[in-house]
Amino acid sequence: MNAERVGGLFWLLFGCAAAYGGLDLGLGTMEEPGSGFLTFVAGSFVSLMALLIVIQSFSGDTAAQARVSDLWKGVMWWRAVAISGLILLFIVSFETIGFFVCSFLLLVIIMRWLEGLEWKMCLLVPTIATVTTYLVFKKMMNISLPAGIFGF
Amino acid sequence: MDIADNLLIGLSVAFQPHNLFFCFLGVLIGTLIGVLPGLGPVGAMSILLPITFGISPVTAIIMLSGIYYGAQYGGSTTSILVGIPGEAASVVTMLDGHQMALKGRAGPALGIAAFGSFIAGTIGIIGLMLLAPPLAKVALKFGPPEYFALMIMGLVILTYLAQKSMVKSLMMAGVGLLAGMVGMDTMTGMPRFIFDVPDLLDGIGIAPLAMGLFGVSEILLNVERKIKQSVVVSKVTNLLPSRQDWKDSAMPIARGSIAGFFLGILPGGGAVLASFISYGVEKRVSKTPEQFGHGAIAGVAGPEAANNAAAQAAFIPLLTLGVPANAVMGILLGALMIHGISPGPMMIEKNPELFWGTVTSMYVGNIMLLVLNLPLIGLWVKLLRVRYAVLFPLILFIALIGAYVINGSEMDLYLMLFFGVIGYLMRKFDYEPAPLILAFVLTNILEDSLRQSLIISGGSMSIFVTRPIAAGFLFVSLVLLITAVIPSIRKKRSALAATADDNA
Repeated sequence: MNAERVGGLFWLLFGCAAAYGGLDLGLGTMEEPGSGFLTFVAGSFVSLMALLIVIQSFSGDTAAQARVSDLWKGVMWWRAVAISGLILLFIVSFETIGFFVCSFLLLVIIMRWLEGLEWKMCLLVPTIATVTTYLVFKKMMNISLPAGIFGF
Repeated sequence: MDIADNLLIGLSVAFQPHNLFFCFLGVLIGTLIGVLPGLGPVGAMSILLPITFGISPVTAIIMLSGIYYGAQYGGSTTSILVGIPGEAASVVTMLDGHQMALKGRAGPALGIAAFGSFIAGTIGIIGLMLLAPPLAKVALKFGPPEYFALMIMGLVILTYLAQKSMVKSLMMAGVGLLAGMVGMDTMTGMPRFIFDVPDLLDGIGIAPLAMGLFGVSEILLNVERKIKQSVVVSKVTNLLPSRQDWKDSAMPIARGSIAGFFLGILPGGGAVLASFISYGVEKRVSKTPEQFGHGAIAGVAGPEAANNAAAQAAFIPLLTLGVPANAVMGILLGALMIHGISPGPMMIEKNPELFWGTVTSMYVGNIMLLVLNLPLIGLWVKLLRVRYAVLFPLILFIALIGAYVINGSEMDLYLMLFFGVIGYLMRKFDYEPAPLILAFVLTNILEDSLRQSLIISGGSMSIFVTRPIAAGFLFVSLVLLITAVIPSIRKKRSALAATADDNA
């Protein structure tokens, strides 16, 4: 499917939802605009611009326009998905497992599994990074970092 | 108080040991992120925002400013030696700078880039000192309608100058406004779009939003392809440009500094635009335009001067009007607000230490940068050999910890990931994130000034056209919007965008 059209349709839906949300919040009056006034205006504006993009996607040389699948052609898209998944895992387990274990594992997994770096590098760099970060935030700036179930 | 008194105040602040240290740290980090491809100043500043929470506002701004103008210096090193722009404003420097390096003239290219940046940076700072205080006095006459109109003009200029589609950029500004409205309405106390998540009552933080849109999304895009970093020289020698090099570069540096300064003041303008325009001007006025693209030193000197002068000038609208000229200034505005300081016309009067301290620290920072970028060039050459496979996990890790420590909240991490994925998709579909972040930062001021204007006028929109300054700003916005749809101008904008894409 035409990438421009898909993008336009997404933002059209988003803009309409925002405009509806603005109506729901209440527009108020011109003398005293309500919480939904600017929300409605901005949502309508986004919808209008998105509609223009959708209309434009039907004009011009449609054969020359990129398809959604073209945007991921020839790139290692799975690596972006893997990184996003790892970040999500990190967030979910960060407070439970704790700063040290979570951070160390995240770095080791990315460097070893995703990037295929040698073990020496994969252990040395995460160790230095986690210890330095701990010293800067916890010891120098007195900002608490989650200790987690292991207590460190 | 005259400028000499103010300078003394500034110097007394800038030369305090801890401010000197953070200024050095800022320009060092700035050079570092400028040198390393894959993370721009917006991403780096947002990632490092939490570090500034434990220090005073003036020290924080000195450090963050250092990152910004330091990145303009560092970006040229990568452009010249590797042929990859270290950051967006160095795209043009690469055209002739890398050609010079291939011909064995990497030293003079780096030298003139550093000296040109230093001269332009100094001119920019002097301009900032001279122009900001009177502009702040004029801005005192601004009421809510003028502020509203000025911010609309800023957003329109930013979208007008966008390298991609203007419709998309305008739409992104709208999305930024909507994102800025999440949380409690400051005037009515009504929660907006919080979806029963109490953490969202305070709104979306600038740090997770910017880190996601600029930092995480950039990493996600970069890991999809193999980044090759091949440095063309192993040792850089003869950094001092010859007499002929200086002769060829003097006027381009002068023109670049002046053009860059005025383009930098424009809300929505900035370093990238300034460097492109300077390159175009130099090519046009040159007696040997055919040499451009094949190692003309004027093609390095002009754009480098322009982007540095613009970087300094961009502080003027922020510090005098409270209106950020670009996304980087948006982050700085966010940082000031976190520290409880609202930049605007009264800031110079109320916080002279902050204003003059920041300005004078820029002098100091520029000298530090000259030292960092010339005698220490070997260090940066070595750094360019560090693999991206080692760098990006560290950048990601710092971003994650940085986002968490702001509020000690998991929600900020989720938001950062969410905006990271959104930013990744936006870039895939050719939507620019800069208008979004600028509109996001401006939302509160924009909404408040719109409401106050309507209350003052009793609900009449005519207040925006009956007050001359507001009408003037809106007229400029309208003219820009109209000219953007004129076919010949549209073609020129598309051609510029294509050039930028080809070069990037």
